[in-house]
Amino acid sequence: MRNPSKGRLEFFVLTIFSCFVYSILINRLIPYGGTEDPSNWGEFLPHFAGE
Amino acid sequence: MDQNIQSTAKEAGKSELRRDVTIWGSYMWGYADVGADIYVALGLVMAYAQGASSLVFALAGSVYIMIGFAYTELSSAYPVAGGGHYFALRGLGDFWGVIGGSALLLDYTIDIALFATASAGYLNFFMPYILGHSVESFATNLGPLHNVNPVWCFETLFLIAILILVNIRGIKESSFMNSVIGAVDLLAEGSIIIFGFLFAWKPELLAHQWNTQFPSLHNFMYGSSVAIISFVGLESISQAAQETRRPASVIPRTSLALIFTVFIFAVSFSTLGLGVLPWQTFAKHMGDPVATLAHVIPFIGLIAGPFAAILGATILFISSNTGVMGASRLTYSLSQFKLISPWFDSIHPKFHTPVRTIVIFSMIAVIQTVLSFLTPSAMDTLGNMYAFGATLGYTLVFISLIRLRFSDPYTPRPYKMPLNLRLKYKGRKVDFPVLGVIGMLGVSTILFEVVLTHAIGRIAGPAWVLACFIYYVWYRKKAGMPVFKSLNRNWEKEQMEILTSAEEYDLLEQYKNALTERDKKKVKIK
Repeated sequence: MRNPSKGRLEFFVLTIFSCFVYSILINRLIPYGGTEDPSNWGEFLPHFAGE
Repeated sequence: MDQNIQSTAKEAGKSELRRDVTIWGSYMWGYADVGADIYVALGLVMAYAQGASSLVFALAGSVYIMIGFAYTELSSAYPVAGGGHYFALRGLGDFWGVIGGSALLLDYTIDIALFATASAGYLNFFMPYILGHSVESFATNLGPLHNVNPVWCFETLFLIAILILVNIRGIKESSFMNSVIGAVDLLAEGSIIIFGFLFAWKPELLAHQWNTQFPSLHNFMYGSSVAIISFVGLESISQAAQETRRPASVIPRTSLALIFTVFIFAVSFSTLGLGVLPWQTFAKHMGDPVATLAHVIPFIGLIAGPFAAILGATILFISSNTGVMGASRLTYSLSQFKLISPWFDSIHPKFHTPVRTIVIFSMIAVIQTVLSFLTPSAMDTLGNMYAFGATLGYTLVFISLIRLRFSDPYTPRPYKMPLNLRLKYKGRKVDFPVLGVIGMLGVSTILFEVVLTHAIGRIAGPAWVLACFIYYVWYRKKAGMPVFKSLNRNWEKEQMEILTSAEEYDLLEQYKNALTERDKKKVKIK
């Protein structure tokens, strides 16, 4: 029976998760979407608005 | 799909040849089944959970992870296709076996109706480009009935008719094809999420919706009970266990990876969705939420929207077919254990398929479709019926898991739910599943929410179970068998046969040794 070395599938799932988290983090560096107009971010995110 | 004229009933039998399935093949195959759910659930859940959708997905997902652990343990210990009904039968006896079976049958019929409706919903993404009208424009009021959409209903019935024909003729899904579709879906969904988070996600919109659009308690409970739909398909773990050679080495890893993948995707989609569009947009596009989301992502949206719509329609159609096949397998298993009449197993003389089961349960799905289209939101009605069947079935699975730890400690469990408390019970050590109890409380809370908040689900769901029970009483009385008492079954012999057919010879040896030890102890006591 073929059985890939232990951990590859788990690594794959972890990679997917990391990609999602990294894309959220990189989102702040790209001048699209959320970073368009920081003044409109509102009072609920003062630390972002103050950036 | 392969042209493979084989009896579906035979598939369910223990005599079917098992296959070598790689961990990746099994994982992708599972994802083709479970990964489709978000295409349906996203719009439905957001319509109720509103600004708290991510929280609702995370809460329902936590319960789902525990249900997944339970299924992984039971499917690797008892690798047969009966799934929840088999575990309830084995752990709790014939009566609960039939109740669990009826809950699953409800889900399989709803599965056919709901996923066919959703598949048509994704096809309707193209309607404005082809006909110049959206599908919503065909909705009309018929007397006291509001928002009835005959066009969408007709499309759904057409898809179900194709499924009936395909299944009667015995055209079988190829597991390779399913694995490929699963991989494409994983890639497509992953790309939508990554590109969405990179270029379209506005955390301030998410926070704004959380702050100003938090749902009422009723809507929160409604949303969290419907969110269980995004995690449909755990029965496919049992199915995979039945068809895989040496399942004990493949199933636990595959199913755990699958459970976490689905959880990550569900929470990510809802978090992304709330940061890209107002929840009202998803509620308006309940039929094609993922395509709507993909369409507004910069750069890829122009292609990703239509691509997600085609992929969604395809994968949901396959999921709908899983309902037809699942109902056939389940009725076969129910009749094998004398819980329903063997009349259901009748095979078509030419195509060698269980034609009665296919026609009966597909026609029930047709009735459910027509009735649900008479309500203001067909998807919502089908969704809350589904939630009732799933939560009832899962509650019984948890109770069975706990009971089986005590009544059948000898069966080797290649995987055990985490968090166990070692207890002494009748002179032997038993691992009491603490997480099993927490999971049972979690899923019964969702069942309670369903009964409390779903006006249609709380009436139609129990009515279905009652109808199945009345049939069971009639059948058992007619056949001269007890109704509430279980029939005598030799579970030990059955377990040895299962392990032998699965080629799990190490586990078989362990099982025999455990039984010998038990017998020796019994002799000593005497």
